[in-house]
Parts: sequence; C-alpha cells; structure tokens
Amino acid sequence: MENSGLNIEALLDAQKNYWKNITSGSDAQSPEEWAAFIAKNQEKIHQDAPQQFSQLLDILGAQSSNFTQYGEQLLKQFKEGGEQHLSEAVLQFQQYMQQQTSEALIQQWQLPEQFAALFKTHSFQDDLLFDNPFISGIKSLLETPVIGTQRESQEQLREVIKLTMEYQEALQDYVKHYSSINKSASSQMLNTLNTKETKVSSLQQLHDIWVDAYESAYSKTVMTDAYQRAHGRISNALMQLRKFVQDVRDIHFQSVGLATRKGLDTALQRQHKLRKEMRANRRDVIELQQQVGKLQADTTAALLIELKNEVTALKKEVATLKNAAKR
Amino acid sequence: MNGFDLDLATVSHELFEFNRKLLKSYTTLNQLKEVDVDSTPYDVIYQEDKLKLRYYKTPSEKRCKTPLLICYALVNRPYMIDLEAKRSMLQRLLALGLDIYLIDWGYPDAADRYLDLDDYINEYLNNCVNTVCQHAETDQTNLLGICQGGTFSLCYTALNPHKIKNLIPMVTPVDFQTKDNLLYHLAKYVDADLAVETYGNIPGSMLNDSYNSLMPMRLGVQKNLGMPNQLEDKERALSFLRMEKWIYDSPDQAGEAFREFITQFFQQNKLIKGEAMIGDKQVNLANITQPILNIFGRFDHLVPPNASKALKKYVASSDYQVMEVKAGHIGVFVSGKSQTHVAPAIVDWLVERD
Repeated sequence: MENSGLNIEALLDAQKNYWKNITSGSDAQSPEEWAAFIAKNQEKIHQDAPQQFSQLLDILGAQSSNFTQYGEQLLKQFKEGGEQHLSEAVLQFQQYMQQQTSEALIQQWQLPEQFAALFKTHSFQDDLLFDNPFISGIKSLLETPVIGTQRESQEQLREVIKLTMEYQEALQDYVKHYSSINKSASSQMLNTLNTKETKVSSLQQLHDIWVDAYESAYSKTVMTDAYQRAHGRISNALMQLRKFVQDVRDIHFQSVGLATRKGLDTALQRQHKLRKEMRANRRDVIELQQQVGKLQADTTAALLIELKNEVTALKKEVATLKNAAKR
Repeated sequence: MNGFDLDLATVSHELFEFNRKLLKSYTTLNQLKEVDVDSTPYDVIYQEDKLKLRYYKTPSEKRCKTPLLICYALVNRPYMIDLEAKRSMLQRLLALGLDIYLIDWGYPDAADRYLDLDDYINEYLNNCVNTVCQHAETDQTNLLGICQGGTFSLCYTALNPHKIKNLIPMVTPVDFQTKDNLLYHLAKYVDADLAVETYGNIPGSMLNDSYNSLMPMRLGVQKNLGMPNQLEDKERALSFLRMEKWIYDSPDQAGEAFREFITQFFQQNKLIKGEAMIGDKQVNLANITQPILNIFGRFDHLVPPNASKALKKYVASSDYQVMEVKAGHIGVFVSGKSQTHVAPAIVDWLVERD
C-alpha cells in the first residue's frame, strides 16, 4: 500500500505485541498508529476508488472496529478466569450482537427527512412527554407558514399527530418482536454452549453459534401472524407519514406556483393512457389495412375468375359456330 | 458452560489475523479500479423506451434452429447470468451452441411510473418475441424466464401459446402463498396502493432491504464480518465485488406494475386461480401445452421449491420435467453446478425438442 508513511510490518508487530500483552496480563495500550493508519487508508481509498467501494469500506471499517473492540473486552474478561466471567463474556457478546441488530432496524425504518433526526437522541421505549424530541418535531412542523384556511391547517395538524402516534406505536410493537427474537436467540445460544458436543475454540465459532441461534429464533417469529401484522403496520405507518409530508410539500409548492408531485402524476397518467389508446388505434389501423388488402385481393380474384369463365364460354361459342359453318 | 473452550492465545491470534486480513483488504481494494461484469459481447437488435433486446451469437456450431429468448425479472439486472467468465451461465449456453436473445428492461424512472403489467407483457415482451422470430426467421421461439421473468413468461405463453415452442421457467414463483414463502408473509399486510402513492416507483433499495430481511443475520452481520477473508487477494475480491455490485444494482420498480404484481400475484395468488389479468386478458395456465423444463433451487429462500413445483398442477403440458439444483436462488445460475450441469441440461433438453 503506497502512502502511509508508516512501516506496515512494524504496525503488524505492534498489533501482535498488543494482543500478547493483553493475554499475558500486562498493561497494554492500543497501538494508536494502527487506528490512524486504518483511518488514513480508508480515506485514501474513499477518494480514489469507484463509488461502489465507499459503502463497502464503511461497513468494513465499522465491522472490524466493533469486532476488535469486542474481542479486546473478551480477552480482558478471560484474564479474570472462572465460570462467572465466562457468563459475563457471553452476556457481553449477546449485547454486542443485539446492539448491531438494533442499529440495522433503525436504519431500515428510516423516517422521512423531517423526522429522522428526532430518533437519534430518543429511545423507542420512552413515553411521550411534553418536551421530548418527538413533540419538538411536531412543534417545528407547526412553525411552517400556514397556507389555506385556518380549518385546513388545523386538520393538517391533527392528521400529522395521528400519523406520528401511529408510527410510534407501530414501531414499539415491531421492536417488541425483536426483543423477543433476541431473548430466544440468547437462550438458544446458551443451550448450545452448555451441550457437551459443542466446543467453541474461536470467536468466529462463537459468532456462528449466535447467527444460527438468531436465524432460528427469527424464522420462528416471522412466520407468526402477529409479527406479519406488526411488519405490515410499521411499513404502512411509515408510508403514511411520508405521504403526508409529500402532500404538505405539494401545498407549499402550489402556493408559490411550482409544479407539484400530484400534478406531475396526473400528467404522466394521462400520457400513459393516451399511449395505450394510440397503440390500440395503431393495431386497429394495421388490422383494417390487412382486411382492406384481403378484400381487394378477394375482389380481384373473383373478377378474374368471372373473366376466365366468360372467355371459356366465348371460346366454346366460337368453336360451336365454327363447327356449324363447316357443316 | 461445557461448550466454551476458548483459550487466550487462540483468541488473540484470531484477532491479530482478522486485523492482518483487514489490512490486506485495504491493499487489495486500493489496487482495484473497476469491477467489470456483463462482459460477453452482444448486439442490440431492438429498443423500445428503456428496454433493449440483446442478441448473443453462439461462437460454436449452432445446435438449435429455434432461438432462445431469456426473459429476466424486473428486479435486479440481467447480468447475473454473466457475472464473470467462470460464473457465466450465458457463456456456457453460447458455447454449447445456442443463439441467445436477452431482455434488458433498463432502469425505470419517474416517466415510467404508470407502466403496468399490460405494458410489460402484452407490449414489451410480445414485441421482443416478434423481433426474435423475425431475426431468427422462425415462427416460434423458446422462452426461458428467470424468477419474476418466469412468471411473466408463463403469463405470456398462456396468452400466446402459438408463439412459444418450449418453455423453461427458472426459480419461478407460481403458487405465491406456500407456507414457506416468507416474502408473501411479509407482503401480506403491506398496503401496495399506499406504497405506490407514496413512492411512485418503488425504490430498488427498499426491495433489497426486504430480501436481506429474510435472513438478516446471515446476510448482514455475518457476511460483513467475513469480508476481510473475501478481499484478501485480487481475484477473490473481484469475484466477491462482482456479486456485490449485482446485488446492489437494483433498478426502481415501475409503480403500477409493482402494485399489480404484489396484489394479483402475492396477495391474491390469482395466477394459480386462473384469475390474473394482464391488461384485459385473463391468464389461464391450462392454455400451456408446450414442453416445460421447470428448474428450481433446493435451498432457494426467496422462491421456495414448493412455490415453483406447483406449476405442474396448473398446466396442460404432457411433456413436463423438473430439475432440482442443489443451490439457492442465485446459486442456480452462478454455482459450479450451474456451469457443469444446468447449462448442458438446458441445451440437451432444447435440442431434443427442436
């Protein structure tokens, strides 16, 4: 790797020594150069590499940092020894994995832009109070200039509160299922670790046991009607909220004479309808042309047959007259 | 805890190795400038809106006089069958003597919001079939449909049986409501009308999230953690990145077509009830009398085998064969088995019925 200005071998040695020190029980400081080195290279590839790599690098960086941090904690737990510490280590592992699941969930159910920031500082489980970020968000919406009559803006307000509440309830309901999945996965993982047949000798194996336990618990839960309803509810609640935001945006656009999404949709729908009609008309024209062609061909053929018959009849007549003249 | 047999030295070595591979991954990525896919040369013989019909000429002696048209799904991109030379079902089929036509549906944008199944099947697909027959100078074509493209192919064949000689649905959902069809269960209570009203075209990234949610831990955290292993050397990294590129290269779905597909096929299972409507035409699978080779993956988690196998009950083909591949949804096309077994089986089956 060009660039780093650091000796890679030396960095790897520093890493090795670091892990050794943790293992042997001596105090060890994480090699700072390593973190700087990783950050620097990540930045460099971000600049130079195709766009596809950027996301990959982010995932890679976050994942490796999490994994290394967890491994470090685990090693420190191990130094203490004893069954209690082992249980503690497994508990920590479960928490580490659960945190990753929660992060993935939050990412999946992203709110419309106007609301997204609210959840960054707010727990799903908190009750609604007057001064929480959720209500602040609703208040901020109230600060947008009132368009239309007073009654309309009041209706809008009621609607957004209703939709936001529904979203939060749906999310709470949905998250409950994930808490239950995590609980089942944890219990299944402990069962596996308690069987004599299982021998976990690496972090990777521990990780694999968690993945199997989680997927098993997950597949059981998602097949239940309750989960499917919760999934539908959160999907629909999020979409309703998004749609509301778009509709409000449309009102503002319209008020300043800009094209609205609704207007564009109507135009596209009409254009699509016309296109279908045009295709149908084109097909009709082609069919009619074919029929006309056939009709013309049929008429010509009939005329030819008639002429042919007439000529044959005339020939016969001439022949008869000739014969009569000879006699 | 009986099963806990971790020792400090092993774990510390594992962590060191992990970081070493991570370092190597950065080096590898730094060397790569482009992830090339879809590299087999072709001619575009027909275009309509965003659709392109590609023609691939066999480099070998032609073994089938009837051409083969491949109808891919609207979801993701068709180069899944041509990811790279060693994992290219397309190249295997060509090498075995087939001329191939492939539909590339393109990337729908806001202007395509109202494209519906009538447009896709009765217009686009129909125009492709006509073009293929004209280009190959035949009255009929063989039709191979992949996943949703397989469902489209079934609908098309049922509506236009005289135009299709042999039919090969691959990993194709037919009965959308089998007990093990998780996608159906997740779509069951989702309001498709609201989705289209909200998003217009359905973002491809949303569909990717749905697929990942079928096995969230395996396709998420576990895959990410294994990444340094995949990126250690250049060749392996390229293979991995080609697949990643394909996975995340997901076009948006035209709103109306999406709405119709979710409601008619997933939520109401109308295909097997003989009630699916494509435009003003009703699809009756019993109209299909063509020879059928139904190919599915034993470990397919997106289209479970039962969803595909159901086809036999609803068609009237007397020449009906199934081929089970020991692979998942994508493995049917990119695995080693696909290259050595699936492609040759397809060609032999078609040659026998040419």
